[in-house]
Amino acid sequence: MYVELKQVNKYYDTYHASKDISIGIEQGQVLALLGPSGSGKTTILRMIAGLEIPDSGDITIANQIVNTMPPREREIGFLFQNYALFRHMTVFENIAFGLEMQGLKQKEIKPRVAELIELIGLTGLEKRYPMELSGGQKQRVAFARALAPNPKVLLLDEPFAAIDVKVKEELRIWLKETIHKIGITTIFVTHDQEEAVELADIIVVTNQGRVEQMGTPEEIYGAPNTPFVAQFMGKSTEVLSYRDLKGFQHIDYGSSAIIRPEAIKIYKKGTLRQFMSAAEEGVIERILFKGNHLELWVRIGDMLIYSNADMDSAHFSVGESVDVLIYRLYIFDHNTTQVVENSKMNVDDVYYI
Amino acid sequence: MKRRSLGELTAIIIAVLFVLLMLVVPLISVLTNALSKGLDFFVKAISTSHVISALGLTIGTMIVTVLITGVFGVAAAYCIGKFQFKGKSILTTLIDIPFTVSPVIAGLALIMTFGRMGWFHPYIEAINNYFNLDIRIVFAVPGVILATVFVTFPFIYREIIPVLFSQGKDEEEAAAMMGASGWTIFRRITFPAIKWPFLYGIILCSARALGEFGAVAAVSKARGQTFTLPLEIDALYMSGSENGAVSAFAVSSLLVGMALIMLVIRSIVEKKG
Repeated sequence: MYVELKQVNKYYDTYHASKDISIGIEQGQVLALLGPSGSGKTTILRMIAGLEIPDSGDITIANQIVNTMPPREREIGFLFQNYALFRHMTVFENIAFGLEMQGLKQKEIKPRVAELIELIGLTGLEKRYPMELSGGQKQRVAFARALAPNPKVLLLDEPFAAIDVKVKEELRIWLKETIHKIGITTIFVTHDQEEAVELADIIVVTNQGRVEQMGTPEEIYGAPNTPFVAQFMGKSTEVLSYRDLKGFQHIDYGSSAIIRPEAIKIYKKGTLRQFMSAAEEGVIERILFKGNHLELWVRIGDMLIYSNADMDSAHFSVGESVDVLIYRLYIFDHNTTQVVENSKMNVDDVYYI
Repeated sequence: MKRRSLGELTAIIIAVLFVLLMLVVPLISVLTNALSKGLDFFVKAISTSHVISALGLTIGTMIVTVLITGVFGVAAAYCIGKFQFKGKSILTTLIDIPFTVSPVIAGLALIMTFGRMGWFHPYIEAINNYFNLDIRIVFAVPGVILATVFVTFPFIYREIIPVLFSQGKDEEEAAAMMGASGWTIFRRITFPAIKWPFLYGIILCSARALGEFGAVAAVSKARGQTFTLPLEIDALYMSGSENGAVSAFAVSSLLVGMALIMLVIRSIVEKKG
């Protein structure tokens, strides 16, 4: 492991911000710390940076224990959530700062800064002050500034939180490509599961100061270890009386289950052509128009289940009775998760293959 | 131009009348009175040895005071604005004491601390005996400076602290991540950000130092030695003679002139900052 945390604990007074954190990342990989706000992900990042000191446990970078090493000796590039550009310095001076601190001469600094400004595509804006830049431009400058001293590790704190939706997508792609081009070991913090899945090789899901699960995006999404992870990855519904659902009555274990929005499909009455025996009777309770799709909440007995629908699919209205197919459930039994397919639909499948 | 409402109009008239009556008219009266016995008298009045000594002491005190409160203000604002430590809230409250305590009390407190009956008197005596010196604090120039420092020390701190608070410490942390040491961070990142409020604080502090009366009056007793301009003006006025009163106004106009210069510098700094 290139960067590794071993049973790291951190307290703020009596508040236990990091609980037995053990995570690691190989050289050149991208790791996402994913969790809701207050889950302790930024604390982990700041401890790796040296801006916070762990109360117990070890942090190693390149096999060297760095627990109390001051930030300036760690050779880490850090991108702050609001960029923290030096407001009284120009774009050039901002990017050159880290190189100056390394004791380089102006002659060596100039070409390196020019190269970085080209990398971020802001050639011509060297003399601008941060105040005169857009959010996306600021982020690029902060990124170049963090990379300038050739750090061993790059840390990003909510890199896209302060950028509007339209620019976000473009910047995300740009950042992903740039990180891979440079091949730098990267750890970033986010609360957006889409961002984590798109950018990271490894995702660490945090919750209440603890690591809930660590794995590849496929593992985290396909085999969530805990109800929290399952719910956090995609807007899912937790149901307790899942044994009442057709096709799942035979299950005799588990304490709760998760239904993913993509594992459920809603049909207008009379339009269902197959799996009739698996269909549940439901009533649409809420509809949200989301521009390119609809969000639906459908009630089946005592369960209110969340789902999506395409805009060009059937037109639904609140209070309408519908047929609902539930394809699969994630069932939690102590600390294990089982993915269970709808048994009635498997049987019916035979006729159609 | 849009029509003003009655309330708006009344508020403007009250404000303008107030400024005219309370500030402008008295200032004009100072100048006319100062010149009531002619220019020759004016020049003579402001060039007596007492006045020149007082002018020198006032300016000297102002410079030393600004140096001390400047260093103190930046240091206090930096540690309170950027770091967490025990007793921080007590410190922030204590710093504001000069705003609430009457200057005369500050002067008397200095006498009780450094004067003949004061707590530190034996130590000062011991030092004087050992080194064969004659250092005196109260009723001497050091006392005048101490009294002025006491009443002005929150000024620069007060100007800097809101700016430091509003900026957080992200920029400092970013500099630290890039390899900057503590002193470099202060010099390159923190100080440039507080440069203008610092300058503004210096001006406010200087203006206050020029005009301080109460605290200095308590620790000063020799005309021509430890009297600053405000004290000299008071002494001239209290002398009772007609010439004395006019001289007092002449010297006053000197102080008013210095204050006006401060005002001009202030508005320049305000615009730039």
